Amino acid sequence: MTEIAQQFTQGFPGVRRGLERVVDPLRISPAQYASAKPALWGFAAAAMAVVGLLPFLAGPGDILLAQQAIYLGLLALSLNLLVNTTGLVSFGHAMFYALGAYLVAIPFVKEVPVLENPLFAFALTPLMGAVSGLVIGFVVFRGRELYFALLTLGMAQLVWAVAHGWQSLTGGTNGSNGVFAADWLNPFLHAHQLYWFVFGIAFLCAVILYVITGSPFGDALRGVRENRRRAEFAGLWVKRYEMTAFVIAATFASIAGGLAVIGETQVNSGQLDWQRSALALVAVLIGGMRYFLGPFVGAFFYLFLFDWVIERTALWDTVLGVIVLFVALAMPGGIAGMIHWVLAHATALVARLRRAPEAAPAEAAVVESGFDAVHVPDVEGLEATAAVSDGTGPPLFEIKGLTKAFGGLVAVNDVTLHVRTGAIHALIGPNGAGKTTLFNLVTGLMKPDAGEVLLDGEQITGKAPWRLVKRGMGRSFQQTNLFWALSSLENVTLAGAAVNDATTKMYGRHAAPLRDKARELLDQVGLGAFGGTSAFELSHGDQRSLEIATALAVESRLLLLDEPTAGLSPAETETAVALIRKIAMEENLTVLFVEHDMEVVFEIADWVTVMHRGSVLAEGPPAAVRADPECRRAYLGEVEEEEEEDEVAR
Amino acid sequence: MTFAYTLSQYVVQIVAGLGTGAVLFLIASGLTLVFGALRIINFAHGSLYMIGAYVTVSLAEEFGFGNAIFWIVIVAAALVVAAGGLIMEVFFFRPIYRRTLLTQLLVTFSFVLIINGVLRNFYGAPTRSTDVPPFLEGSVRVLDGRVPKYQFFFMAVAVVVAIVLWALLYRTGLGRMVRAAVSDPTLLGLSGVNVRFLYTGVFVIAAFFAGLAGALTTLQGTVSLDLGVDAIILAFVVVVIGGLGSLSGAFIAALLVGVAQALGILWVPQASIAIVFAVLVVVLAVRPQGLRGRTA
Repeated sequence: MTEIAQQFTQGFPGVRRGLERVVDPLRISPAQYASAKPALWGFAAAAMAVVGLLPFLAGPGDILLAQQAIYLGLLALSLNLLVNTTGLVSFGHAMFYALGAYLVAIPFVKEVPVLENPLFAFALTPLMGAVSGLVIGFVVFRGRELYFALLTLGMAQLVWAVAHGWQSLTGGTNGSNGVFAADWLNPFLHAHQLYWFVFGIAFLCAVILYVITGSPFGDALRGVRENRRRAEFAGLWVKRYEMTAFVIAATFASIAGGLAVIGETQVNSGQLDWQRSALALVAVLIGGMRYFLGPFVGAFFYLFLFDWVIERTALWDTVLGVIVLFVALAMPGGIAGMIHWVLAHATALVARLRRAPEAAPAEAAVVESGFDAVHVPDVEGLEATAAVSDGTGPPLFEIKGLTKAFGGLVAVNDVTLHVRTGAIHALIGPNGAGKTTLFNLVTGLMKPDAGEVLLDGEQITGKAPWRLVKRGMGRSFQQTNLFWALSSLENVTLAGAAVNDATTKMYGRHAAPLRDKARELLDQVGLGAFGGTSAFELSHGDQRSLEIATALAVESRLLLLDEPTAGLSPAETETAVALIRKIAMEENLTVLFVEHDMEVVFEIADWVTVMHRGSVLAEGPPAAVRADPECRRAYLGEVEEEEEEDEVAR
Repeated sequence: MTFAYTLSQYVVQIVAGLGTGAVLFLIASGLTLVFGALRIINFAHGSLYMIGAYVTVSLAEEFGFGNAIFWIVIVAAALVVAAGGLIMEVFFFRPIYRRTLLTQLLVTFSFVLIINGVLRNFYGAPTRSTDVPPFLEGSVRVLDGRVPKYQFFFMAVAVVVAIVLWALLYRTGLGRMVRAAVSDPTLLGLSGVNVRFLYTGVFVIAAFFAGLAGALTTLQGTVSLDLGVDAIILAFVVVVIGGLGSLSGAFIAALLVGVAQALGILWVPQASIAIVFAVLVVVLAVRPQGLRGRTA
């Protein structure tokens, strides 16, 4: 059963079972899909060669159409850096296309010195895109997700409305009158040369975008897409990465616009409204957003289809609409996904005919074992180590008089807490005691009303999470928080790279030491064999381990763990406890953790702070806290009730 | 660009703007309701409105647009659109509720194309228009100027619809469920409510008012194939300014946008629409969640 067929039959289980037998008798595995990648690239190279050599192969009509598909494809490709790589759906990407187009057209019409040469003006389109992207970015990033999409739409319409209305400058819907003819451009006396110029520029841009997408910077963008919060706690300044992606996308969209004016020798506001943005999104989706060249495939498919349909039926937009609808509902891989599907089946068939031994089942078996097995790290020889902290060592982490109120409810009330260097410090207290709020305050997710937080004597009160991470603070969450679609290895590598600012590198791969370190960390938490498995495929216990590995990758000195054993089975809990102790010893870490499981607390903690109703009730070594009558009454008694409630809830 | 107009010119323009804003509210109220409950931004909502307008044209040509017939025609047109909305929701929107934002936008966008093609095939490209029923003919004197009667009629309808929707949402069991669906559809489903039916209900109500808006808009101008796209863009602006999912926000924003556009026509006739988007950008830059929205 292929992914595509699965998507198609979502919600129609009967159809799915039928399809399983009929459509996909070969049962292509993900590994076989991966092995068809070279064939896919071969196909892409052949297609590019055809497009490049089109002037020798096709008539002028098709050449012009292909040229239009190239501008649209470049626009869509730049948009895909936002949509697929960063997870930002912009519905107004054509505004940068418009600005680039007018940058070339207007100086020519107005005979601006120097810039009236369209090639000089064209050379400035990247700058135009970058600057306008930055300015517009400040507005549109005020919103998230749908608001972001609608804000980009609004900004694009504003740009369009100005272009549309300012007729003396842009010519509005009538276009920029008297824009140069194609042969005006000296180097392009022949239409074919113009075509190759357009093709060459687009090819160059595609190569640059490809490099950026595959770079550590691209990895960081994927991290932001998968999990903003995790990205921030890996040390990424998320907003800045999003903005950079937006500016890059704007730059290439602007180039596409300038290219369109050079190719078409005219521009009018009718080509630049929101429907052009929608068209770019349609190209991205139809072509297949998960494939790098998908947007180009989509652009070619859409424009040639449009050309074909409009000659044949007055219902052309209905036909196009039905196709868009079909692709959106039934083919999430788009046309590139379809090609991939065909090639994967073809290669599998060839392999079967040759009776080549299949490597896939063995691999699948390894992956599957991840669902039920818990991978106990090697913890021998750690049991004998004595507690490090007796409450008198130098503090690494200080919380002084921290207070936070939500309306009338004082969630955290004047909390003072010292975490000694090298300690494993537990923070306990009944539900609603303010533990998680305290965590959110000290990790920069909330701003405290009063008080201060010091890390190694340095003031860190209210600093953004990514800044704290860079200073050596790692955090895990009550709910598992990972870059879900990325592999385990990528999760850890990205975390390690982010904290060192290695993710600002926009070319190549992660440096070898970073990759080696990530592998080491995976081994350390017992996930060495699962480097290639994506995070969401891991069992819950393994996910918690992976979280700890990513927290370690950021080279933390201080690790804040919010209920590290929440939702784990007894066996998994044991593993987690062993793991926490092991890494604390080996890495010389200081750990502050929130925990409800008293066994866990008394097993590994060497210092305990009890919180109750927002305040610190008691603190001391575990034995002392356990003996303290007040704690027993206020807290330990309540725990039993709580556990009963949990039981009922289950 | 000129600002020198007499007071009565301004007043007439503002009143006319409130009239257009009233029709806009009928469209935007459904859009915001559908977003609030179904979490879907429906690009085809403007197309539903356009279907309402064309159906009204057909019915008016067939049966006339007399005082009594007028009421039957506009309700019939709205019901036809509601039926279309039912088909759309059940067969095409249900499968996409759990899909990505991009898929949702494109599925709804595909209906813009589909409906446009069908209507062009059926009615042809030339614009169409209807008469105004006798009781709405003529105009009302406002200071030194005159405002067509139907503009006041629009305002009255918008106020009635606003009250009906408000009562529906805040005074009935159905409304309580809709509001529950807005805050947590999963929990509502677990409480034994058939969330699917509820979604369908909300969508059909929204389609009904879009159809009604389409029927009314035939009074104020010609009906063309641009109607849907023009309307959806303005309705988006209204919904976003008002705050996604907020009915009262949509009401305020619709009137605001109507007036802004009317003043734009006075000040910068070539780019009146730019004023509307400028209002949008300013409001969102200050309050990203919209005037009455909760969180961005």
